[in-house]
Amino acid sequence: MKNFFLSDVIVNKQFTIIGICDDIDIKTKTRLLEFGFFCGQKVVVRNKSLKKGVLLVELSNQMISLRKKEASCVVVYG
Amino acid sequence: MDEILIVGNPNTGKSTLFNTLTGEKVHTGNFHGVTVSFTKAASKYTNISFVDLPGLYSLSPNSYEEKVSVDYILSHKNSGILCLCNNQTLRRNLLLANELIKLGRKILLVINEVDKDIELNYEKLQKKLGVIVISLKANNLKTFGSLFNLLSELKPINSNTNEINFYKEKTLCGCEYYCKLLQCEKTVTNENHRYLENYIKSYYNKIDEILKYCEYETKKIVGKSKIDKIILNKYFCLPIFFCILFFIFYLTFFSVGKFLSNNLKYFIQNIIGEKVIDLLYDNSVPDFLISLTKDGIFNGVGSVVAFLPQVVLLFIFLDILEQSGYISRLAFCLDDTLKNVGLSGRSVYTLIMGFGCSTTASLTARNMSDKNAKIKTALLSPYMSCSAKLPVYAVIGGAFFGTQNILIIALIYTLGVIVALLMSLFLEKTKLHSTEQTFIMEFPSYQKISIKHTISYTVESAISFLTRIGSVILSLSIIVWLLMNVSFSLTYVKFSGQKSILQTLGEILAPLFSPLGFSSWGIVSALLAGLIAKEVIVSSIAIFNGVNTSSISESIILTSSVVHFTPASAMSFMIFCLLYCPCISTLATFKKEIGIKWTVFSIISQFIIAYIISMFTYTLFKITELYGYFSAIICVIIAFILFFSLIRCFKSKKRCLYCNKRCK
Repeated sequence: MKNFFLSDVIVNKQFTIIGICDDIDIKTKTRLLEFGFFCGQKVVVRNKSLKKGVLLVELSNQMISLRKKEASCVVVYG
Repeated sequence: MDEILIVGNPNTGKSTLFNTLTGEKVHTGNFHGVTVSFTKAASKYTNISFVDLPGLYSLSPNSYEEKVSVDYILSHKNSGILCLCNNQTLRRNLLLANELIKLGRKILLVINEVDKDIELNYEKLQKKLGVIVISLKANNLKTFGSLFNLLSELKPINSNTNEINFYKEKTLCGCEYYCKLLQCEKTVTNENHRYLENYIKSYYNKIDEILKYCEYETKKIVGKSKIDKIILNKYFCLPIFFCILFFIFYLTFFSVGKFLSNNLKYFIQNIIGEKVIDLLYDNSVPDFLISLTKDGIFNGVGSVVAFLPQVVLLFIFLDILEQSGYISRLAFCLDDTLKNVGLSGRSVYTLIMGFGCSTTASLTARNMSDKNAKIKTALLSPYMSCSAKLPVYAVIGGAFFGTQNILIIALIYTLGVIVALLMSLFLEKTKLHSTEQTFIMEFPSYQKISIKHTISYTVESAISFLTRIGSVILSLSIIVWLLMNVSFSLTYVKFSGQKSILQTLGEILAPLFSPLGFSSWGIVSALLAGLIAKEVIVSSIAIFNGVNTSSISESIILTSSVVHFTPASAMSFMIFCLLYCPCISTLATFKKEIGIKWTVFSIISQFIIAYIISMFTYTLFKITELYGYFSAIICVIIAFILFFSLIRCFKSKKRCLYCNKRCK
């Protein structure tokens, strides 16, 4: 089991969120938290765009798209 | 009369519920952020007025349309709240519901049963939350039951009675703290970050407990579909999008669209037109009135009405795209590209809507989270070729390019998109640098196309098109006819032999447009009339050439006609129509949304861009005629080198991360 940033994980493998970095602006962090990106949640990256700048993730029965920069603030392990 | 605010997360069915309650026809779609402003209307069934608000995730707004909602909720303290939740995404919806409950206002929680297979014990949920909970289907009035009685008897709740409200501060409740935290971003410390994280996490944990107690069970993953493996495939996504666009344009401009349009032209010209003119002759009506009816009304207005089937088809396809949930997928695919020009995937919705109407498209720019991005997105909407420009391409392109016109039209639409992206890049590098926006967006599930919704939307668009023709286009056609037939000394030109007002003005301005290939005063006058509404361009050409709806294409080839083109000037004219100044209603929306400074910028910049590109196209055609294709290709290469050198000048200095200015 290792820690990764969500932006770096392989597709279709389940990971558990550890937390969100503090060096992100508060509004983005709030939106991530509102969507359920917090410690203990299971997350799976399902797809990446052509230039890998956008990720499509499955989190708490919902597909959510987010940019690589935003995903790089979410720390996961698995 | 009581006022009830319909509040909820984006894409939960608020506007659908509002339409069912009030009988209004507010625009709805299967995309996050379709509603961007509030709409108020009285209910057809009770003495209550409802307000449809844009969706929001919490009381801490992140974009302009969310701010509209929060401001409205907080400033209308006596209004009741109907908090709408979607049973598929109930867990996340309850986060906002709880913040609203905490406000201690009159509130009713309504669950929209989108998925009928999801089980939930409403009585237990009601008991746990301390508010009345009912379920319904937002688009079905029969499922509303006692909704109206409950709304008329709503009473303020004691926010401390619900079990979820467990997280209390000594001086500040969690919700207030949360809002304050976001408004004073600069003072955020690591401790604040921890607090926020714990605060929302604790809520979710409690919501999970409640939902477990209420036997809530959902196995479906919202937004997940097998078809996405193909549609979102990194190699197939863009070809699929272009195939869809090509299919839409083929059906709209050719096959079905052309067949229906030709039949309507025949009907207007041979069945109605001739009978009315015969009737006027039989009743010995004065000549100028017959000319006004024939040339001004039947030829002018009729030439635009004939394109109704094509406009209707375009709106049907736009509605299908919107309803299906494909636009979110497109936003995902295009975000990478749009990010490079300072936009985000969310701008896709505005750009696609621009194919329908620039005015409504510019309004949807409100869902951008950054002010500069909002201005930029709004400014780009007129570059998308709107439905009003459709008759121009069909008439002029059809006359010169025949069956190849579909490729020419595809080229024109593509040019609009390319110019919009380059304009965005220019603005990003100069005056409108936007901070990187968030693109955290939920994916809606694919939805079956509701024929009822499509018909309703299309009928509404068709009525709006015909109303515009009946009011603006009709009056403008009459004005154009008058200006074309009356001289400055106010005499009828057919008798006096003097030049008409329009001819005099057109001849003054014509030299300005001669580098573009528009030497005729008629073309310049048609462009001037098109400043008010783009549909008038075709009606003016019909009036100037004195031909009926089915003969416009033939007339513009003849050099003896007032308005005539060569293939080079026709191409140049279509490009000029695509890019030059937006219509009056778009400019009025611009003034309201982005201010007078950017409205003036839009007029001037679009005119200059249209002029340069049209002149380049005309010159290129002329070079091809005189020196062959090879010389034209060399010219294009030189133009591209010059253009990209210019872009590099802007790219050379990067912006400072701290002061957002170019560092020396």
